[in-house]
Amino acid sequence: MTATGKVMQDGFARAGGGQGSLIDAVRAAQQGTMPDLKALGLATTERSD
Amino acid sequence: MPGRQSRRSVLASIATLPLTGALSACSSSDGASKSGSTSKTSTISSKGAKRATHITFWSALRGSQEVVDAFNRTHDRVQVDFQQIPTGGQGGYAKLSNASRAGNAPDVATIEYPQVPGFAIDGVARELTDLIGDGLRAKLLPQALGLTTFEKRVFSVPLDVEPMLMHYRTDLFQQFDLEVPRTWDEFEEVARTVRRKAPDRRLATFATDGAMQFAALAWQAGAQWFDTSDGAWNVSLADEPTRRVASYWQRLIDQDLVFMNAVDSRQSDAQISNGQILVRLSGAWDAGAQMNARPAQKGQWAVAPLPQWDPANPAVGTHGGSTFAVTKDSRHPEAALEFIEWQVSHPDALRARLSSGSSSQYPAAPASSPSAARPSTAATTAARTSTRSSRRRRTRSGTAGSGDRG
Repeated sequence: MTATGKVMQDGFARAGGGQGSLIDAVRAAQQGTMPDLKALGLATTERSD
Repeated sequence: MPGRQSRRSVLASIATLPLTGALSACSSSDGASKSGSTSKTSTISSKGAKRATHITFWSALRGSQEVVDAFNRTHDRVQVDFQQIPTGGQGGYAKLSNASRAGNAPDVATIEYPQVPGFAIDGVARELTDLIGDGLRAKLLPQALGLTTFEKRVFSVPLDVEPMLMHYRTDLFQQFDLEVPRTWDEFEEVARTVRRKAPDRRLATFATDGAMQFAALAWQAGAQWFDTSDGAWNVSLADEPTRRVASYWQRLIDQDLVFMNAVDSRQSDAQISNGQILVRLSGAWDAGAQMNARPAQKGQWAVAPLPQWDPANPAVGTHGGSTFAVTKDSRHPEAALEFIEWQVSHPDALRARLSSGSSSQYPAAPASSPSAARPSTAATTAARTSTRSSRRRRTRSGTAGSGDRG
């Protein structure tokens, strides 16, 4: 969650600077979280509904 | 000695929680990192205290010194030596980890909810399953205890669960003739009115460093970012409720109805101090933080429930909260747990913490609050994504100085 939060906050900061949106930030957090979980050897799936 | 936990098993079990990360906002002392004080209790010279079992306690929580002093005054067999440490983010967790590696961690340490799994995995937090009696379990909100229980194994004891609230400036709401918003639609309208009537002010700030705040807002809307119910980690940080919350705040940002900056910053401090911000969306703990940080605004703040998406089905996420762990290094785990149980559940402990004038914790053991014979709706929802509540309360609090005292 710490890494997820950092990716999200980086996205928020970019949005604040006029680069991207909040939705871009949460999507980036999603994409940034998956590799971390896989690196831990965990089975992962994604959902967006 | 507790064994190291399987990272896989602990991680898998925490995923049953809706949004554990939302709990990470600190309920710790703003000034904790500056203190570094050691309790006078370490030099107790009374006859009874000399024979007592001494345990060590590290915490960054506001009011901890007052709690320890109250405990030591009323207990003979166990005495607590307290050390105020920096908040986790300011080095407190690193200090705890380093001490554990060196084999000299304190008997009791404060750990916020999101960090409990990590300290359990690393073997810093001792498993407490067999130490916690039915009496203590019965005192705690089961949802709160669930946040520190992984695969039916308990690793720390909840102190507080912090529903996200709307802290607002009563004087400025009155000055600009504003109604306290009950829904997010009303919140947007009030934000528009504030910008129109006071162009240099905004209703609120979207925190660019507020992932945990955003998590709480998404939680309220029904998001569930992590789920392992199908046997795998199902990640859905961009699910429909989250996108709805993001779109809502994006609209406010695009229309320049809210500030957008880091809240852990001098800029944010200035915005609050100068009255440029009328609302703060944060856990109940934040009232105490504000009392501590801005005593000059005493009496100017109140709290109201978080605006709702659907007033017929009110919901709230939590934002903050802390627990107490007994470390693997403790030589007196039973004494440590006796202190923890008193600290989380005895009314005198809550009174002592609030007497510091800088804490506004929302207890995980409702009976510890003299005015809360039953678990409140807000606390009951702490580990759920929604609840029903037919009653809205506006409770004067925050810098009013006494409103959050149970």
